[in-house]
Amino acid sequence: MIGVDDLRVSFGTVVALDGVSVSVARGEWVALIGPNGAGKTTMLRAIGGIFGSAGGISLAGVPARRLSHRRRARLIAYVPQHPRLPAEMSGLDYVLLGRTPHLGYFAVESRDDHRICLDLLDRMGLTDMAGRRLATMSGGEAQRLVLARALAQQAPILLLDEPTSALDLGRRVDALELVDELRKERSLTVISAIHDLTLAGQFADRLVLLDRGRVAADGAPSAVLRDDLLSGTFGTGVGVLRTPDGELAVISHRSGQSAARKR
Amino acid sequence: MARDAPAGRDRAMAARDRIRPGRLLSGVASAVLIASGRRRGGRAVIIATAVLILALAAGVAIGPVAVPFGAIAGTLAQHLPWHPAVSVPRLYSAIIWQIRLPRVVLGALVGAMLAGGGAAYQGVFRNPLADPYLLGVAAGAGLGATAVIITGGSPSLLPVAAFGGAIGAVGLTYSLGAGAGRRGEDAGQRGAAGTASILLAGVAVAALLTAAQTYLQQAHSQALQSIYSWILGGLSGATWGQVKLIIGYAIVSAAVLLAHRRLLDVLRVGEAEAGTLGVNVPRLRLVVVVAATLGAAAAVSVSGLIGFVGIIVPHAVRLIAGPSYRVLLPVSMIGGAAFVVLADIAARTVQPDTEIPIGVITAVIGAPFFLFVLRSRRARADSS
Repeated sequence: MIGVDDLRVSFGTVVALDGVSVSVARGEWVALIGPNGAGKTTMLRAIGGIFGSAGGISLAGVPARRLSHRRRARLIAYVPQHPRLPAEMSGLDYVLLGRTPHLGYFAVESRDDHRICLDLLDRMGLTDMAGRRLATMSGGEAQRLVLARALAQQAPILLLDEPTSALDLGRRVDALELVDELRKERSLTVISAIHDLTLAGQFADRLVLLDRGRVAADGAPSAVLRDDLLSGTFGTGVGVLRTPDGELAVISHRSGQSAARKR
Repeated sequence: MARDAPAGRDRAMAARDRIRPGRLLSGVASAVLIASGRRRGGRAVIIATAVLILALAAGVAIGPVAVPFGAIAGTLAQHLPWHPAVSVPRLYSAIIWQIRLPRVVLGALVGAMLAGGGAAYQGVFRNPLADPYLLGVAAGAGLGATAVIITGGSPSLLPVAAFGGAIGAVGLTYSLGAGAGRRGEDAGQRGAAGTASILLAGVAVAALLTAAQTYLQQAHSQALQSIYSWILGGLSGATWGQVKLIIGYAIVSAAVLLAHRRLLDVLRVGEAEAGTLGVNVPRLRLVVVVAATLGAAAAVSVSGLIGFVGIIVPHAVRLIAGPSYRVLLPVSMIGGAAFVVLADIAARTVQPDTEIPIGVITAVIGAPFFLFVLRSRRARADSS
């Protein structure tokens, strides 16, 4: 569904991605993990077409650079880490923005577009937000609203940049469960950048560990979430524990206490 | 998204249960919301149109010779095809048809173009301080007009030279700015850098052309009076000829801007996000700038440089009717038309013997009005 071949991106003299190759199958959920500055967001933005890049990205078999803005937006929906929320816009109007790639250049939204967006608001538990201004929404509501806007694009690929960074523990799991439900329901292909390694391992089919713009590891959660691999990339003591019901939990060690712990 | 959602099949069933009543609810909600959204925008358009009609009527009725409204209606009827037999005293019909009506119609077109162009520039550059003169329209038109005046060219050349100067200046700004934006292709910042470099190029081009204009003006001090009065702007001596000159541009510009009002709303989430929603931002920017510039240049070519309209009217509308461009663009155009017509009435009646430059009036009425609106509706200010 998505092919990334030898992707290179640099900002002036700083190389952000240095020859990354990854391919993602239809319906798969791939999580990009890695320390700050490893290139997770850059990779998502390159795939989302926010900026040009050297190297090949293909979407559903078509080279990305050959796609018009509209066609790309019908294939990929992108949820940015820090979306810009116009304070005076209503929740419904915001979600309706997601219909843009399906509207003609001069068209306005039809009754069908409204119905699609109101259904999504309902699905997200946001029906009450339809007429409310974005300025009045909590972090969790805004997060789900942005997801609703992305889903309104009805694109088969969903890119999520730190979708849970603004949420508390319970809401994080809720939000990712919701993404997973939608993924199964609509056979979406999901790529997400995510800091929380435990959540990444719980939800993604596959993890891609990025380190300074290169792929350090790529595989199933159990193959990537390993003490030695993670300690090397994150530069601190990292422990991977297996819970009684078979889930992997990643914890970091305090640098001063590792000796005490071993005793 | 219930936090205690059961797992697996139960959850799927729960989801279905949630959706079914939701469908019904959302159908009803949809009808209500669509209607209320349209009603709000529609009401603003209706109110603005009513104000404009009153302004136009007042503009024709008020003057050194007071004209009764019946004579206005009669004169309008006389110029309809297959008109009924109406008799209007010749004096009235001459004043109405040859002097006042072209003047109010021209003022309305100029106001609509300046305010609509200002709203469009603010949207496309996402900058609340943008006005239609931002990219060099005023400086270019001023230079063109000055060149015609000092060379003693025919007055009929004035609008052509002003229009050409304005378009040339914006063309220069855009090609310099967009080119610089492309060269500084630091990934990720491309959209923002493009906007910033176009605005900076506009500042530089305007400074350069204003310097040239000032130099020419100083070198021909005998023409100072006429140059200065052109620059201050005004609608005196308006003719149907001038109306015909700009009405084509006005219609094309207004139609193109109105057609893009939804995309300008999409742009409120920023250029990068608008791009991911399928908007070709550089093309949108180019089309909107060309349309707004054509309108502003046409307006300036017949009226000189009337200030404040392009910035005050859209902001006042934004504060009263909300920041959505679907409402903002049409209401700014209608409101701008009414505002210039009203300002022009003041310009020609406040002092009995002479006309005050209309730019003085737009500032004197506009600034306090704007401050009043700002104070009373500050809570809703949002220029994004």
